[in-house]
Amino acid sequence: MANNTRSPLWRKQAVMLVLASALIAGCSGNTGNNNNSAPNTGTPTNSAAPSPGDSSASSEPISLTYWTGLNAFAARSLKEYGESLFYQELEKRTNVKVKFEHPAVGSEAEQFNLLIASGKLPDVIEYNFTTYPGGPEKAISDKVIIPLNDIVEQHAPNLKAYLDANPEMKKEISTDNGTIYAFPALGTGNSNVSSGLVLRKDWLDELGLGVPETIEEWTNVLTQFKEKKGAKTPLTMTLAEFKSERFNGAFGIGIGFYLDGGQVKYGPIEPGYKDYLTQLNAWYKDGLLDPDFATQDGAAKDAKATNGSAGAFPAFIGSAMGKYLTANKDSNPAYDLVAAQHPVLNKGEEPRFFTAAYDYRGENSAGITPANKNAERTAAWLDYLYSEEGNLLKSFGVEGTTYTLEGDYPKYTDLIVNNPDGLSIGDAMAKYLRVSTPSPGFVGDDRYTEQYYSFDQQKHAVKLFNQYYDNLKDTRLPRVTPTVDEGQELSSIMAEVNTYFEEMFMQFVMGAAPIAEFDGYTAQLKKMGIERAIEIYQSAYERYMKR
Amino acid sequence: MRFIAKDYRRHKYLYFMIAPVILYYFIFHYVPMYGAIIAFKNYRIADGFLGSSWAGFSHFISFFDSYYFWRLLKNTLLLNLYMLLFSFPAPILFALLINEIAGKKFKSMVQTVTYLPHFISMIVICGMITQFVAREGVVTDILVWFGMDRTALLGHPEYFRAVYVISDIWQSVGWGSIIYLAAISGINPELYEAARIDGANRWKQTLHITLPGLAAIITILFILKIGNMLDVGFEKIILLYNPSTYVTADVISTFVYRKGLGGTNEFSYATAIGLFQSAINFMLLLAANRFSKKVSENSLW
Repeated sequence: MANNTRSPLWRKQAVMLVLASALIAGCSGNTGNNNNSAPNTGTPTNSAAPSPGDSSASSEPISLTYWTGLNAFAARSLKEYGESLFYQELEKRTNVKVKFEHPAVGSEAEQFNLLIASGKLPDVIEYNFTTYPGGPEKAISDKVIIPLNDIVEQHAPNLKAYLDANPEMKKEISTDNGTIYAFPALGTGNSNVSSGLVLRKDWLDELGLGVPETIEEWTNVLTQFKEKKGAKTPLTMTLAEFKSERFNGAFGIGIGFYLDGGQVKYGPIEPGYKDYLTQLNAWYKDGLLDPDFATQDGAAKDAKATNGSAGAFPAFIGSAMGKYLTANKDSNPAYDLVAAQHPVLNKGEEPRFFTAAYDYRGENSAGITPANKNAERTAAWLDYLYSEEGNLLKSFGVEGTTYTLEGDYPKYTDLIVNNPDGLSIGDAMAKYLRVSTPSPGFVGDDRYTEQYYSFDQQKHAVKLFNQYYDNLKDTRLPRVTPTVDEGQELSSIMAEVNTYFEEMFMQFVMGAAPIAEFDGYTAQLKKMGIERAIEIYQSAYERYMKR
Repeated sequence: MRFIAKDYRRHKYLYFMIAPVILYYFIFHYVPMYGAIIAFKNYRIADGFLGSSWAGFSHFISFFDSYYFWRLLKNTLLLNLYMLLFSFPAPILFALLINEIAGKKFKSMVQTVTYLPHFISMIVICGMITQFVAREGVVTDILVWFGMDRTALLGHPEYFRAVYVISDIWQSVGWGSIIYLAAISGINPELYEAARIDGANRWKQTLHITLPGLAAIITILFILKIGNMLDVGFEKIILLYNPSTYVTADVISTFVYRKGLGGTNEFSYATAIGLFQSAINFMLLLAANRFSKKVSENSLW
């Protein structure tokens, strides 16, 4: 406000100086970068883009406070990200010292709300701003983060080059007004579908069954597992997994809001949902679906998946499949898993609904707060992660320590794949790098995926699950952003709708409410305003298409 | 004023000693009350407490109109009623029983064992409860032996209140009995002596001496409990419930939690509900106090 008129000349000059030095740093980085650029590695980074990182070490050190959730895998061996090899090396290269603030693992969303309610903002917040009530625009008007268009234009050459080359992605990471609000976690490579349904291959082989594709085949397989293999809970899932798209796709409906020929629809009120509930209820009654799905946690499911109680379950290719296969390597060498294509209703159909990450991950995108006094330097620092060199550091670490170059191909050393301290590959990666979960920069590099998924079964799964990825273009709602007012209306509608829906879902599946009440249930959802919510998404979708 | 000034001169050090307590209540309990105005506003973080626009009673009205209002109220009151019926008398009975134990060593062992759950953190306690009543849990095993169908108790709304109240007794019976034991030890032993001479047995002594001796403390604790009728320890419910048990488990405070911090951020709405809850609690407290004053000698003030 009055600040502008009062701020003395020297302060303006100082700002100019910082700007200039950042620019110079940006330009001179170019030469250092080219030596290292590995051609054609699948990373869409424009290697010609300058990288400010290596030479900005000469500029004066700054320190930042950085709020981000500590990933659960990393939390096993790190107290904070500052201890990880990646961030220590990054500090050396960029001269930016980072002080991390981590919320308690598992309650990031609550703690984020407390953080903004407290008004004491750190310099950088890493969060999924698309889930901010009212959307990223609201986060900006709430003065939680600042708009970044100018800053990206001037101080983030790597990100800018990438966005210029990928206009679709630019559309995704911006708001409807074209505001860039965060340094995004961008997916690359062909592994956006990282989970799906998995079955016991040894059981299938023994019973002479093929991998099921249709719901009918699934019922048959699960029944045989129960009768001939004595599986107590042939299909086991946790409650959270019913929020992912698993079996609903076969009935032609999405699990929440989805697209059908450019129209937004809400799965739980569509007629197809009734068929879906009927099927789940039948499986529940026949003892094919684990009756404890509502109360069991991930650990209980893991136990059932490995001890022969269950023969089919949804699983992440990396964390779950890898863990299950390793767990049984010695005790039960026959144990084998196979991934199943996302189920359909009739033979020959292509799956159209399944859970996949968006190319723009949303999660763990870094926003700069109004409290940050070094916004430009911070931007340049974050931008380093979008350079070839920065990506290599983030995904593969330090040459000689965590990877060696074979030709142009970075190969993880034994420190990662065969950790001397007995860490699993996922835990070791989480300890030294920031590669396996979203973070600002590029995620899902194919060179990483190939090495992370060490079992053949996993390599098969990643291909199979991603086979129909393009079908999602027509059925998946892109990351739309409702306006501030719409957002508030939406959240008050959805708070009630979600409670009611979750409750009724359980009752239908467990048989406490007969399926015949489905019409009454959809009527109640409509009374709670679900149609208005659909309208809001529809208009947000139309704005998105016009971006 | 003059009285206070005089009193201050006389008991200077006592005032020094009470000062931190008064400050504590002022800073942490009275100052934050000003934040309650957002119940009548459309609170936005950027605008702050004072800058946000006024909303009148609209948040209260939308809560009373809410689909879940009656269920939340019913669940909250029922859960508290069961607690009052079962969980409140438990430590009293327990204290009476302990009082009758003759062996000193055995007595202190019983006490230590029953205090233990009180010192375990809530999240661990709830983890244990979840394990105990899971499909293969030890409590479930016992119930199955008595003829129940094997199932995970926390997946069924009809068992939720029982699990909640019984586990609460397990958790707090030992700790809660301390205050009663202290009161019992304060009863004049001559009374027992006189009763014995008059020929009263242990049961009669308990009935006519120990219980009346406890009456005052029981009444006060009872009034305080009534004053919390609309509160339930929501941490425990959040750790134990899931959508399939919302029917009986969802109470006002868990609803507030989901509204306010569970991702939708309706701070004003959540505050309005909280304020409503406090107002009702306060009225109940007043009513219980007046009632007790009428029927017995005991009251809070």
